[in-house]
Amino acid sequence: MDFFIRKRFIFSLGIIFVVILIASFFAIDTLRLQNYDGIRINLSGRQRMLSQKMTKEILLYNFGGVSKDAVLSTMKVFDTTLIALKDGGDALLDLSMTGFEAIPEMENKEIKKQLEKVMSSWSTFKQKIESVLENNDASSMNYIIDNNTKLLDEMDAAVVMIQHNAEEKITRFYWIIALGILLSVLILIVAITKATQRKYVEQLEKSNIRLQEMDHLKSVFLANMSHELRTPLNSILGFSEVLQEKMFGDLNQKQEEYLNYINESGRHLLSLITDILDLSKIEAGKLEMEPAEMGIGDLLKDSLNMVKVKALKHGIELYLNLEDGIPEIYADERKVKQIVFNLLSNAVKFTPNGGKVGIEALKAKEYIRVTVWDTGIGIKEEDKEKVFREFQQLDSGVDKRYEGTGLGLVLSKRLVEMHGGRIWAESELGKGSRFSFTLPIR
Amino acid sequence: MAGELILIVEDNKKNMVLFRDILQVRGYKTLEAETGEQAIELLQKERPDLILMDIQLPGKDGITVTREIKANKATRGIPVFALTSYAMKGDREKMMEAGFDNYMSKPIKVKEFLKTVDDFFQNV
Repeated sequence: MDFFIRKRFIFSLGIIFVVILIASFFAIDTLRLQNYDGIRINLSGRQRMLSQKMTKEILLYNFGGVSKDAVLSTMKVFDTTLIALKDGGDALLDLSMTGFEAIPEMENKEIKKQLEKVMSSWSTFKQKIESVLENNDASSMNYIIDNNTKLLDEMDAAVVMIQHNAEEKITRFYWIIALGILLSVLILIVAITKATQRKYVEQLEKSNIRLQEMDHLKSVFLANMSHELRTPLNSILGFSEVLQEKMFGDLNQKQEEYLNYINESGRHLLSLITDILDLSKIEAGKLEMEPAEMGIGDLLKDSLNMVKVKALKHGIELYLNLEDGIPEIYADERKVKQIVFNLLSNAVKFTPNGGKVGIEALKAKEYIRVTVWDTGIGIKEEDKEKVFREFQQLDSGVDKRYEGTGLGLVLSKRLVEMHGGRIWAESELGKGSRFSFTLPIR
Repeated sequence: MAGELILIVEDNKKNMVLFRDILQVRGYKTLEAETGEQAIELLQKERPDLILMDIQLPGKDGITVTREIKANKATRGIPVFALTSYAMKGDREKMMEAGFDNYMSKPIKVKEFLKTVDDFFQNV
């Protein structure tokens, strides 16, 4: 992954390098032309001045104020400079004709055209000046006076064009630099975003695989734990029952009493293990729902039968109140039985000898409602919510007299909720409790 | 209780003793195998009337072994009861498909366990 990112960055940096190289090439080229443009602007500006100077000198020459050589020298400078501007070559840098600078041919076609126009005007102008210098020709003199502004104007136009062209090149230079920077930044951003995105996706994939592995490990662990914990219990419960059944001979009273303790404790341990594993399975989303059409009546009768022995032992009377025409529901029978049995065994457990425990079932809109009631010790108002939380068997001032996992109600709540129902408790301390739950009919 | 022969496949020695003893007291004859592989080997010489098969076994598990027993013409007719301490998601389906004739969950209740076996032979 790191290698991939490094590769991507090196690649991006390579592209950026090439972009900058191209941009600089254009920029340097523009700068080079820009340097010539500076010379050209200077020279063309000087030409403008020279055209006026020449007119002035030829007029003065007429009155003997300027020498012929001076006029010829000015003409020479004007002539070479104009050729250099148009076709390229050495241009005179100063009027004393000592410094030269080679400049390239004018690359801009329109400027060149303008310079050619200047050139053709200049060649006529030149002839006229020469004929004044040689023959003092009056008509040529008149031509010069009349047309001196023409040459000036044309030269002026060329100067403006050259300046304008130079400005355009500067603008182009800035654009190239700006585009180069922009492109580099863009490439960098794309590279970083892509790399980060890729890294993120890879991380997600990795953690997803890890989660799946952990989920699988959890399932395997649950299965193993269940097996490992139940295997010794099979011996404990099995052998104690064999002895209780007196399959291998009689027992004395003490032996029988202790065996009962062993068996009861074993059963207690088993229910603890079962509840914890069921809860873990719910937490892990591993508890399978096997819903089917089922009647509630027989299930309630069966559940009552399961606590009958214990109830009888404590002189507790059992009641069943089933509303006529209670509909079938679509639920997981084994789990509903678990809920009812949990509530019932709690009711019997927390009801003093000689009390009453019962079940009511009725239809309530699109639900059926089952209530398990007792005349037991009851729950304090502030504890009614707590009983559905993990490991919250309430003391109710009776300390540890009531053996249990404290998980039965938590489990029942989860099982009811898995069906889309609700469970709640009503109670009056010392008088009894009513635990009700609803299950959707469909 | 006519002295039917029952093969017990169980890797836990104490549980084996338990199953063996209560069945023998009840009048059944027993055969023992600690692994599925041993059970299959035994079935080449012996023909029990019932097999009690633990599911979690070292080596081949009880489901695989039962599938093999039910796939073999010579042993197909022997009923197999599963002794399982846990059903994971999908295990029930796997057991149905493997061809078990009944299930009993561990830890067993001795009286219920014996009644299931007795009832089975009474109905045969």
